[in-house]
Amino acid sequence: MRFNNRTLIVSGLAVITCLCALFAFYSLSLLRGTGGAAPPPAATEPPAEAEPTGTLPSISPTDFPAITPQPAINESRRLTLEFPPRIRTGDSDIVRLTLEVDELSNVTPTAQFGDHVVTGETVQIPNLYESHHVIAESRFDIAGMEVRPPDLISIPLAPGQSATFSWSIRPPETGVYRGTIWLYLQFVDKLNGDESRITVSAQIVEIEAVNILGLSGSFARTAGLIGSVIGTVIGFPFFEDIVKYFFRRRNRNQ
Amino acid sequence: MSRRIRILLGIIILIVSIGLLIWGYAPSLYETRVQPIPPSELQLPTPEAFLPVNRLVF
Repeated sequence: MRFNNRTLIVSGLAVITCLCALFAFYSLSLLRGTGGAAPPPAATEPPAEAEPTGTLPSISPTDFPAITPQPAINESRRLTLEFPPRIRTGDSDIVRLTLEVDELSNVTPTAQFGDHVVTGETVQIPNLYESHHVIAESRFDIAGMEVRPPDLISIPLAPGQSATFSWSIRPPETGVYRGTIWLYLQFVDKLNGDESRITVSAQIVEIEAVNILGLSGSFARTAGLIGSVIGTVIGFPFFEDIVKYFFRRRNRNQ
Repeated sequence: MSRRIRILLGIIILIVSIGLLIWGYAPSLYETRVQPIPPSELQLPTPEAFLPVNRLVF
């Protein structure tokens, strides 16, 4: 029994020593390894400039090649989204997205620092319409709501012309529906047919579907129509009194 | 008395029905969002867009 106790103590010490050694080895390997993060510079120190390494070639500002401006659409555009934030359950409505030309835009780059205004030179940007077919594409993603058309809508974009996308929506039941309206521009090279696409806008839309006393829009209209007829028939004496009142008044005047 | 009750009932039904009709036929209010898009956002995607800025060497 005494031997066993001594053996247990020695074994425990050996296990603890091994664990300490493993931990120390692991810590050292983390510090020395390539994955170890370098200690951040002190907050008071100025940020050290990056020194060029042997593998990276140093390029002076004069070595830059002449930059050719990327072809672009030389017109500012305005994206207008119209949607009903609240809609009656069972009714359909329209969501409209219009990409139109912004007539009042200032294309000249302008920077302002305090009281000084610096206006940049006008850069001759190649017209994208001359080299590419430009197609505006849009899609309305919203879960749980009926959207027509559900797929991507494509409209060829011409200079100075606007593109309008319309969706018909109908909520099947009450609740808050959240969706995204995406607008893409697709460029197709006129020479080689290469296609490229950019995302211009992704707007989040929140539409609330409501009802009244548990009645959907069409049911409320039908109930209102029938109720008006019934109310008129039941309250006919009331109308009779009104008519009599007007006749009496007319007779008094005569 | 029954005449008065009948008139009252008729008026209540009429008011509720007209309320339902107004709610059912009221035009939807539209929210409009306008977002200006400068020409710089209507460019072809450049290779720089695929390279992180901190990897560019000047």
